[in-house]
Amino acid sequence: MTSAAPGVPPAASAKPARAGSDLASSDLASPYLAGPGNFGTALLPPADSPLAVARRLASRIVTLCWVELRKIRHDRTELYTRAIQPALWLLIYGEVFTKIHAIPTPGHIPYLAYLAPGILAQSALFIAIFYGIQIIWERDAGVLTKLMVTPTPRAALISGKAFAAGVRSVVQATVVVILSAILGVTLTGNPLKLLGAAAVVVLGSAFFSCLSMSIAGLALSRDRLMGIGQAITMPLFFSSSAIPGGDHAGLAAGDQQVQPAVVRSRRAARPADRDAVSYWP
Amino acid sequence: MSELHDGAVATATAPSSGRGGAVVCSGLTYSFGAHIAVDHADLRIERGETFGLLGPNGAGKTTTIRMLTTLLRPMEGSVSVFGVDAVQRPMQVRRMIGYVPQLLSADATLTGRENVELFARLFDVPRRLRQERVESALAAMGMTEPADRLVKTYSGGMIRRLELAQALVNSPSLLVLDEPTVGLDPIARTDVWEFIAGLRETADVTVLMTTHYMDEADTYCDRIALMHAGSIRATGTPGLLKATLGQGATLDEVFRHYTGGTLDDDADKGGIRDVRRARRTARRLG
Repeated sequence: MTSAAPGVPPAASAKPARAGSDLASSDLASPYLAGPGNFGTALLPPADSPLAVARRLASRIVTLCWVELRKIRHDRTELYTRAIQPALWLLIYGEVFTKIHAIPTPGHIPYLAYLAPGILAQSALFIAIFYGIQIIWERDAGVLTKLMVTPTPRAALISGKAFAAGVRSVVQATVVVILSAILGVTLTGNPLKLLGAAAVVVLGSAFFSCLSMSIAGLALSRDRLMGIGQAITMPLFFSSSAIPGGDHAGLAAGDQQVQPAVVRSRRAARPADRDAVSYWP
Repeated sequence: MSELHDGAVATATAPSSGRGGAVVCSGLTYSFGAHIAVDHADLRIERGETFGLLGPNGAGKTTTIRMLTTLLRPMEGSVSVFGVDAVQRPMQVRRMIGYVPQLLSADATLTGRENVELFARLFDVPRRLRQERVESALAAMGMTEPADRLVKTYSGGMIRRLELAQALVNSPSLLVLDEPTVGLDPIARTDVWEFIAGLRETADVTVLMTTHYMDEADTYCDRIALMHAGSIRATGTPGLLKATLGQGATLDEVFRHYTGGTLDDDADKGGIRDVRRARRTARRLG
């Protein structure tokens, strides 16, 4: 960025760095001494140019993802506690139903391998839905107000949060993938496929967090949104590969040879499920 | 000032450089449904002064601040910050403002330094200057030592000082403080004010604040405006406003005089909400 960067008067950039806390106040003062006159329109970039808008959007997304990573680094409790539910699904539900062969799966694929991608998607979905609840909390706590007074367009704020949800989901998905590997699910070794799966987790989480934040804008209360969130996640979970019931199981299990195109299209529709934990021999 | 009800009150005693004012509001109006929160308010804040906006709960102070910080779009009238129209060019106005909201709202799950860096990034402070700016802002508020601790371990006064550091990292020309000392104990209040006063000595920054504490307004504000029922009732230096009521009058008496002594009547407008907010803040701080 140049010295004419927004919000930074030229005096600030021209000032050499000085050490020592006693000098800090005067360091801080230097930009002010330049005065508000420096905020003349000539120094500001054309705020509405597509390049400026795209740069600002990218910068906010990076910033909010950075915040998310710092939060995960400081407190991993949420990472661990959020791993309990997928672990229980895989360990109890997955193991038991794999052993008793109660749920039909395509070919000779163990049910656990069939279940794992669904659990991965479920983890990402729960995190994404949580973002709507979080933004209501931020609104109540005044955090959102403070963010909105920064030169951050509303759309950039939401996009940043959506991708932050994606980052957190990828971290959580990694935990699920590791857990699946430990339980004996055959994983693909293709890094491109894994990267593709990560990209789909990010985009999927971004989509659902946007949905959740949009609903949050209407619900305006955490209690209400929690109910709505549950109403969204439950049917989605049952339509995922975790529960291969109804036409889903029939489509995938019985007709694999007969309708390869349909199966392939389903694979394409849910690449996160299929690519992250590949059970194809 | 057209809203000046008392002719004896002086209007402009602040250092004025002859250029336009720092904040100029004209005929500012905003209503929530049938309730008119701000009713044709006129306000002029000069560059470099500390200006206090006083008034009972529900007087329209926060709504006014929300309009000039571009959070609300005025329904009528205009507001400009250093000559820039807040409605036409909100992004440009935001770059000039450092805002500290009423609630203690630093991110408790980040460290103090990260909180300030977040705002440096959101204000597009260039990467090469970012670290220096963050350190300077932290040092100016005496927050260097605890900067690497998580904010959830801070006291209320420390969080408020951290929020001031967040607001300063952009080197704002206008610092907007919405009840900066609400919910703080007397020692923390004095502490916060000493840092704000120290900042004024070293920097050419205009400060706009709202407060309920008359002693704070009396001590730290160059000029004050008394707001009631959405309109500005009087503007002037604390000394002149007191003088209009006679010798020995206190700012409390001036406040009651201009707000009609109807503080209790206004309790239903903002009282419950304020109590809820205060309780929420208390819970968050443990």
